[in-house]
Amino acid sequence: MAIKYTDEMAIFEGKCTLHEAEPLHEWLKKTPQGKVDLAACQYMHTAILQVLLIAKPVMTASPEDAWLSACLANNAN
Amino acid sequence: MPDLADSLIDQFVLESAESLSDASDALLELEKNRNDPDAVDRLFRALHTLKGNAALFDLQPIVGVAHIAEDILDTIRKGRQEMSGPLADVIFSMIDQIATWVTAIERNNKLPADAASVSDELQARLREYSLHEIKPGPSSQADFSWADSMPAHAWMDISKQGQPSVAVLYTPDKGCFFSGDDPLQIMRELPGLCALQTSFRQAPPSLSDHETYTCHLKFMALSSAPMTEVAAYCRDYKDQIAIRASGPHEAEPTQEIQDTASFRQIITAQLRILELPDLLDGSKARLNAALQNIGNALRYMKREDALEQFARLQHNITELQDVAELRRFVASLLDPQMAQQAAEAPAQQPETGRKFLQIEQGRIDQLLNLISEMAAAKNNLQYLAERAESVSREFAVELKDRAALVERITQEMQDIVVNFRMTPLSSIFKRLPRLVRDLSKELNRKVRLTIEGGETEADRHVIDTLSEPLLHMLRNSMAHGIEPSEERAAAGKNPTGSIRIKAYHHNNQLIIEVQDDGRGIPAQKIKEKAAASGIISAEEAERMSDADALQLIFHSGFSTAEQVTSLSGRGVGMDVVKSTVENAGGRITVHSEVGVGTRFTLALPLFIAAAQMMTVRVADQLFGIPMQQVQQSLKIPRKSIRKIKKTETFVYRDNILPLLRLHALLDIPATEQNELAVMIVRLHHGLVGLAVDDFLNPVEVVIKPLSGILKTVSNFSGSALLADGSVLLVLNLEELMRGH
Amino acid sequence: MNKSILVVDDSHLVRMYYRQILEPEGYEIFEAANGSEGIEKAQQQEFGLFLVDINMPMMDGLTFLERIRDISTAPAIVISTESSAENEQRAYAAGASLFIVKPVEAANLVGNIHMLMGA
Repeated sequence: MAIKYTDEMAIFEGKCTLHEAEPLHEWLKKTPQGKVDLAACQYMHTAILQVLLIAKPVMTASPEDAWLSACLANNAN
Repeated sequence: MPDLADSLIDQFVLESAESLSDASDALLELEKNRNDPDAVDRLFRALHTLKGNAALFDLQPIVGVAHIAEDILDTIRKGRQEMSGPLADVIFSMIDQIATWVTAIERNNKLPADAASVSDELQARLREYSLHEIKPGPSSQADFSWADSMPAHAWMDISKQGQPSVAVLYTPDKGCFFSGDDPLQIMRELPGLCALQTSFRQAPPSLSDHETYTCHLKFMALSSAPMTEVAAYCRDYKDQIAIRASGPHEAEPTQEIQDTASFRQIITAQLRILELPDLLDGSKARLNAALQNIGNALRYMKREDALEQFARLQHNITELQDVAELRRFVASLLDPQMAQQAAEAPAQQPETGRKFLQIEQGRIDQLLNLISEMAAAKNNLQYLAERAESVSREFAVELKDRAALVERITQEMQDIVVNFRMTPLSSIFKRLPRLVRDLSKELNRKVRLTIEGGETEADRHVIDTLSEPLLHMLRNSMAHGIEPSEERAAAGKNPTGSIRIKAYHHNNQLIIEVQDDGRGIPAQKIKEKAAASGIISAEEAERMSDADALQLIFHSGFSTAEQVTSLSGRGVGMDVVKSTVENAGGRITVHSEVGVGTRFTLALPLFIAAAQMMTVRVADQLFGIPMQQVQQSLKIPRKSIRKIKKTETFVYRDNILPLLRLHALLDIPATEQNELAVMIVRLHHGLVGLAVDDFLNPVEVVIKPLSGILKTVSNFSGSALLADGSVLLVLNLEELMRGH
Repeated sequence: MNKSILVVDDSHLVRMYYRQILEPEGYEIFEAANGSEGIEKAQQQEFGLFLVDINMPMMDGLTFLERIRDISTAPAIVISTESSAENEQRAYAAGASLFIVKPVEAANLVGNIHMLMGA
C-alpha cells in the first residue's frame, strides 16, 4: 500500500514498513530497468534500504530526508 | 582495564589462580570418570566464578571463553551431554590460556594485545560442543578505524564534526528482522547521533540470490552523547553492538551529565516496574519500593514541580487506573520537552483544580484512528505466535512474549486515549427541543420536554451512536405515546404531555432514561400483533407475561411506524435502536403502564470497547459479523441444500435451518461453488445459515458508526478499519435478513 | 538516612570490588555470600540498599529478591552478566529497583546509589 507500482516505476508514499520489502524485491527482479520515486517517502525499514542498496535502481526523485538521500546516492556508485 | 586498587587486582589474580587450579583438578577426575557428578559440579562452579570475576574487570577475552565453557558444563550437569576426550582437551587448552592471561595481568595490569583474537579462536573451538546457539559477541577486535574518517555524506550535522565522543559499530544478526528489529531505526534514534554510515558486512549477494529478510548490513555511527547514555541505549543489543570512546579527548562527563544519566536510568526502571502485571497484588511491596525510588530521585534532582504532582499521585493507589495515571506521570519525567517546560514555568502558579489543554479535535481523531489501526494490526500477532510453534519453539516463545506486551500496551493506549473523547451529552441533547417543537406542531400535540444531566459525559463515539436512537425514541413517544390534549384532559391528565430525558452515570455506565407520561404500551395489543405477524405463536402469546410482551417491540418485523410523518421518515424500527445500542456494548429495556406512561432505559458503557468480529468475504469485499451473533462456521456440500417452497434450507444438528446467501442479500455477483462456507448466526427468531465465499480471521476492532450517505443504508451497523487499511463493513444481520 | 548497603554475591572478589568503590563514598558495606545468608542478615538489621549480583545461570540472586520484598522496600540494584530483556523483566518482577549489566561503570553506579538512597 505504501509503494505504488506502474510498469516502470515504484513510487514510495509515506511510511514503508517491512511488509513492503518483499514486493519491492520481487518487482525489482522482474523490472530490471525499473526506477524508484522516493519523493514522498517518509520512512523506510532497513530491509527496504537493503534491497535498494543491492538493486541500485535509478532514483527519479530522492527522499526529503537529506541523510537517506545521501546514503542512497553514495552507495549506488 | 579500569584503574583499580592494586589490592583488587591482587585479589583477582589470587582467586583466578584458585579457580583455575580447582578447574584443572576437577577436569582430571572427569577424564578418568566421565560420570562423576561431583567433579562436574566443581568444574562448573570454578568456571562460573572465573567468568564472574573476569566480567567485573571487563576482561572480555576471558569472559568469552569462560561463558561458553560454563554453558557446556551446565548441559553436562543437566545430563544433556557427556564429557568426552576431545572436549576435555579443549577445556584444558582454555585453562592454560587463561592462566597465561592472568599472569600477564599480574605483571602488566593488562591483557596482551592479541588476547582478543586468541580468545575468538578458542571460543570457536569450544562452540562446537555447545548445545545452545551462543552468539559470538562482537569481536573485541572490532575494527574502529573508520571512526576517524567518516565520509561527508554520513554526517547528519556537519557542525558536530569535532565533537563526537563515542563510536558505535552495530552488526545486526542476520535474522534480526524476525526479532522485530529495525536496525536503521535503532541507529537513527541513537542519542547524540552525529554521523551514520551503512555498508555491507561482506560483498552483498546479487539481487536474485538475496533473501529479503536476511540482514547483511552493518552500521557505523558517531555520537556526541556521553558514553553511559549510549551504552544504556545499546544495552538490549549488547551482543551485536560494540562501543568505543572516540574523539580527540575523552572528556570526563560533568556531574550534571552523570546525574541526568542516572536519573533517566532510574526513572526508566521504575516505569518498567509500574508496567508489571499484578503490581497491586498482595503487599504491594514492589509498588511501594518504586514510589520510594521515584521520590528520592526527584528530590535529588530538585524537581519541586514534579514532586508536588507526585505527592498527590502516590496516595491511595488502589485501582489499575491509578497506576496508569502514575505511569503517565513517570513517563512524562523522561520527556525532555516537558521537563524543559516545567523548568521554564513561572515560579508562582495559582492552584487551580484541573488543568486543560487545548487540542485540535482533528489531532485526537487522527490519534484514535491510529490506535484502532494498531488494535487491528496486533490481532495477527497471537495467531502468528501460535503458528511459529511449528517453526521454532524458542522463536514462538519470544514472539508470544512480544505479542502479549503489545497487547497490553495497545489496550492501555486505548484506555487512555478513549478518555480524551469524553464529551458531554448536551451535544446531542441540544437538538431535541427543536425537534419536539416541530413535531408538536405537526402532530398536534402539546409536549413539554425536560432534559436532565446534559453535562454527563461519555465517549464521543458512544454519543454519536446514541444520536439516532434518541431521536427515534422521541418521535415514537410523540407520535404514539403522548395523547392529543383533549384525550389527556378527559383522562384527567395535564393537557400538556411531558417527556423527560435524564442522563447520569451509574456503576461505571452511562444511563439514559426517556420517559413520557403518555398512553403507555398495551401489552395485549402487542401480543396480538406479534401473533398475527407470526413472530410468536398463539399459545406463546397466551402464556407470555406483560413484561415480556413489551420486549417484543424490539423484534425485527415488528414495525410500529404506522404513522409515517414527514419527520419520522422511513420509520426506523425499535429493533434497529436495540441493535445500535447493543453494538455499542449497551442494553435497552422498556417499562410501561397503560394510561400512565412509558420509560425506555438505555445503559451504555462509558467507553467504547473493541468488538470481536468474525470476518467473511464475498467476492472481494470483506464484512464483519459481531462475534456474539455467530454460532458456528462450517462448510456444507452443495448437494445438501434442499429447497422448501422458495427457501433454501440445510440440516444442522437435526434441525432444518434456512440458508441465505450473503451475496444475494447484498446484490453482489457470486460464483457458484461446490462447497459452501456457511456461518450459522443467531437472530432473534432463531438460527440462520449465511453462505459466504470465505471465512477469514476474527478481528478485534473499534466500530465507528457510518456517516454521510451510508448512514441511511441500514444493512450495516458500522464500519471498522483493518490492519491493512481496508474497511470492514459490519453487517446488521437482522435488518439484512428482514423479509427473507 | 540509612547508609548501609548489603552486597549479595558468591564471589569474594566481587564483594571486595563493591566495597572498594562504595566505602570511600561514605557507605557502610555488609556482605552475604548467597541469597539465604542475605535474607538472614536482612532480617537482623535494616539496610538502605541491596546490591545483588546475578551471575547467570545461577538464580540465587532472583530468589533473594523475591524474598527480600517481604522484608524491606529498600532499593535493590541488580547487576547481571547477561543483558537480555527477559532477564531484566524477571528481575523487575522479582522486585529489583534497577537492572545494570556488567561491566559496571563505577562512577555511574555510585551516582545511581546516591540518587536511590536519597543522598
